[in-house]
Amino acid sequence: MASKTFSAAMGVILPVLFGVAIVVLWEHQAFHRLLNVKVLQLPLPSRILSVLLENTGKIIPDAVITLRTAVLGLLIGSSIGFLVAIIATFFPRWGYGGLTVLSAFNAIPVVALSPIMNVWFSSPSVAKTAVVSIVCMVAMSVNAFRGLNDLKPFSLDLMKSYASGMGPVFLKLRLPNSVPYIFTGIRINVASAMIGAIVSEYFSSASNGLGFGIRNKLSTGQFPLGWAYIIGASAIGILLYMIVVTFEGLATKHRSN
Amino acid sequence: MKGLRNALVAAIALAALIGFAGCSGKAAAKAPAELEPLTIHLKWLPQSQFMGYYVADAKGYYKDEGLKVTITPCDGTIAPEQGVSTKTADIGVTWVPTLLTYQAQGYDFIEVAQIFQKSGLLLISKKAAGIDSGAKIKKTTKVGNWGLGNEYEIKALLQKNGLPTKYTNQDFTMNAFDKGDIDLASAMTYNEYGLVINKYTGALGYGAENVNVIDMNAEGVAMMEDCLFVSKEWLADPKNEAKLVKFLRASLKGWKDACADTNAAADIVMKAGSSISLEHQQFMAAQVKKLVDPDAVPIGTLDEAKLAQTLDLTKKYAELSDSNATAKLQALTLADLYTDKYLKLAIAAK
Repeated sequence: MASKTFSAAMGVILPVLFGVAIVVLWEHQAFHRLLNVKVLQLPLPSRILSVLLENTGKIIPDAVITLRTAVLGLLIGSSIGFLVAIIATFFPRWGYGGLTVLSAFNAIPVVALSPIMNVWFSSPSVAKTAVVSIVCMVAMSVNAFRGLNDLKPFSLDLMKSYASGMGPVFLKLRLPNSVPYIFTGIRINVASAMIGAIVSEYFSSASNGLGFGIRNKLSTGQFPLGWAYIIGASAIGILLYMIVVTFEGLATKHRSN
Repeated sequence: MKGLRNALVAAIALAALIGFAGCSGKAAAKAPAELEPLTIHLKWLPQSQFMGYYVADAKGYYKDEGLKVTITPCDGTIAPEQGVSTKTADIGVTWVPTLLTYQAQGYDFIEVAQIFQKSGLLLISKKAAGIDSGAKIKKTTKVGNWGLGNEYEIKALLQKNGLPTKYTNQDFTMNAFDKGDIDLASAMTYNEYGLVINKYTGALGYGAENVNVIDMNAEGVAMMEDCLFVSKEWLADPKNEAKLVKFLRASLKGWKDACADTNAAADIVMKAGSSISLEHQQFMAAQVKKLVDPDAVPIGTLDEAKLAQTLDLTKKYAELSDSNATAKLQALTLADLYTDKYLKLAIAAK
């Protein structure tokens, strides 16, 4: 028992120590010597922190804008992806092929998608949300399709032996079965949504959001502030991921496997 | 055992081969190395804005000075300041307020020549909007700018008129102006303004009579734009000092020729590779000549009064959001900004 708590504690302590070591080495310019860069080009953590604290009033509103784009796009894209998966389930003959075609969307890089959406939608926030939605569609549809179709052996036969129609099979078997898969899709999409939102801000005509901040600060040589924005982006990415993992834990708690 | 010996022999042979290749490579490189390499990083794509350097190169003025000059255009991703700071370029072309904000961050840059004597930045609007001066800009007017260090004059104008300094991010076309997404668009006299008023291919053909113009020079917020800068670390080497003087001498000659015949200069720029039409290059060359103003002052003149105004305006209006950098910016003097030592040497030795 004692050894179990010990190893559990180490599981927390070791990563924290590793993180602290990186920050300490960074602060003492170990990476600067290793990569031969100047402090100007890679600001020290203490400096980034002080600039971050000085500018919370600017970074937080930008973070809210980015978060809104990411979450809204994530919800819209995931919903569309889920709908596509349902359609593909009901029409299995061409549904799976359709999904494969849809996955081709995943091959379009965000840097290409973003300028295209800017032309399609005159409102910058709609264009950004559209980019995130498209990026989030595929992972959800593929995962949800698997969840709706990778059923336990004989469970479909059992339902058939009860003479249940497509509706009850869907509601009582397929949908509950898909829950963990849906969360996997959302977890993948959290990362994609943040990337999509930040990159589309690089191309957007709206001069706001964390992505715009990062681009503008880095290209005018304001590296400490640029890094402060990067930390803001990482923080909300982690926050979003933690929220999803928490919900996933709640939703799949009763499952034994 | 035998395998190990074979490996050893192979390693020695390989080492000898590399050593040999290294020597012969050096020898081969040494033969034509009479020209000294030098790289200039432009602020933007190859266009008549930088015609002086292209003309100096095409006419062999750099070669006459014993230089082999590489002209690196900028596509908006790597700024000239970053090129000079990472030593991928020796000399950079940038705007003075941008240079000042870099100096405030602690970069050891120094200006060595001022190519443009006036501000070329305009804010333009459709005639119907009725905005022909800074005082007529309203809180609801959508003002566009490219950002990335090009926004300081616009911010100064807005603040001077008691307006918020928020601007709409403008891309590098004038579509947003044409569609009406931007009421008051940033435009360089020599580039975007031409693309709006002129009638040649690729331009919108509005005609000058249908466009209102706000001129930064007339509004009293003019900051000096295209200038040449280097890093002090690079200058610490006397060899680089000598190279800089040679470069300036040849470049001033190139600018003089370019201004004397702007159409010929546009042709030379076209040959260097261009994303825009010859007509537009010619328009640009003629407009750029007005900014270089070769009839009024010697080309490259570092005008103390104009640079002092730029420094004052930058101190007053540039937001750096970083207390250390802000303090440093406020402490900057003209002596920190520029030196006319090399320009004087280049002119004297003519």
